[in-house]
Formats: sequence, structure tokens, C-alpha cells
Amino acid sequence: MDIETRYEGSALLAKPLEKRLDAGNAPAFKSHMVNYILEDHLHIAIDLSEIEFMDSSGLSALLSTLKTIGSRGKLVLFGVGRNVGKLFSLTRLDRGVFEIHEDKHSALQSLNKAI
Amino acid sequence: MTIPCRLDHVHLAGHAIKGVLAETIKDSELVFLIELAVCEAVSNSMQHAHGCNADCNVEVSIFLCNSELVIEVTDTGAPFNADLLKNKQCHDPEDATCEKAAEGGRGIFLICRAMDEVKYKSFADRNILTMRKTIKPTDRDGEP
Repeated sequence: MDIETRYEGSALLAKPLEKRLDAGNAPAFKSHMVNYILEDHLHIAIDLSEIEFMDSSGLSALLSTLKTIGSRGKLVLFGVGRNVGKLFSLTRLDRGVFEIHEDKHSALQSLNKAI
Repeated sequence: MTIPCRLDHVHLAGHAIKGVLAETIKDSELVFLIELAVCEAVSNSMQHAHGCNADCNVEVSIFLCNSELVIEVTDTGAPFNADLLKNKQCHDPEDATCEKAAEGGRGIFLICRAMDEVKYKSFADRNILTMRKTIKPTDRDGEP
């Protein structure tokens, strides 16, 4: 699983470079994210703009990342396309669970407030 | 189609249904939901029926006749508790807060939300999940 990462101040920007986040690659994605957290990256913005298809395994990997960070930091999402957005709305994880932003600027602004 | 029980092969079922529907349904969100249901069903069979044993297979059959789409996912592994299908809210979205949100268990919920009818039967060492969806004229290409 290829993930492009870069730093914006103290925030880590992670962009999975895959078209799908599903049962096939969600465990690898989760493992990468947990490693970033173990390296003390506790303020993370995930750019989902490349993801065209996500299933419940992808959601689970994101939830696991969110729970691993817990109250020690913050996770925000942006670049959510129509299909992935539909998945969030069906499961209502876009209401009170994940913080989803329109764009990178807004996502980083939210992270910087929490740092 | 027959797919070996490897989770990195689930996308093959997704691509297949997407290919079948590409020329039939113009609503890309509907195509996504059907692909989602198929992938959830296939990965459920691989994980829960066969324990991801790559020596086993999952069969996916797609029937499209006029406005009726029927997809069957068949495995020969351990049957699952069909009572889960009776409770469409088996993962209660109302309960979603960061602390309470379960990490998994949304597959059946998503299948039930995506399809019109979902049935499961287990007989003669075969487990068949049958998913039906009626394609409305407004969903189809070239129709008003």
C-alpha cells in the first residue's frame, strides 16, 4: 500500500495512493497509520481524494486509526469523493465520529487549532 | 465467476459487477452501492465461511434480466447466522460516537441498505447469499 506523506508544520498529511481501500489493503493501511502514530504523529490529516471505492474494511481501518490516536491528538479527513461520502453518510460516521473537511486548507486549520 | 479466498482478490468481484452494470445503469452512486454489496458479501464468505483459506473458492453469479438484478454469492464453508439479516440495524448508526462506534460489523448492514432483498440459505454444504435489486427505468442508460 503506497501512502504519500508530508509534514505541514506539526501535522502529518497522509494520502493513500490507491483507487480502493477495501478488505484487500485495509489491514496494510491500518498498519501504516498505527506506525505513524507510534512515531508520535498524533495530528494527522488523511487525504482520500485518490480513493474511488471504500468498503466496511476501509471504514474499520480509519476507525482504528481514530481510536488509536484517541484524545492524545486529532485525525481529520478531506478529499472525500461521492462514493466514499455515501459510505460515511450511510453509516452516519460523518456525524460526530469523523471530522470531514472540504479541502486541505480547512483540514489543516482544524488540526493546527488542536496542536 | 469463481474467486480464490484471498482478500486481495475481492476487488475482482467488484470489477466484474461494475463491468456488467456499466452499460445498464447510468447512476454511478447506484453502481457503487451494488459493487459495495457484492464486495462485502464476497469478503464475508472469504473471512467467515472459509477463514481466508486460499485453497477454497467463492462463486459469484450475476443475473440481469430486464429490470431485475440478482446476484448470488456461494461458498462451501461454515454457515453464518442468518438471523443477522433480519435485523437491518444490526449495526445501529444512531449509536455512532467516536467512543461507541464499533470498528467492524457493518458488512451486513451495508448489504441490506444497498439491495432491495437479501436472502441466505444453507443446504447440501453450500451457503448462498442472494441479493436482489430492481433497476428503475430512471437508473438505466438511454431511458427517460
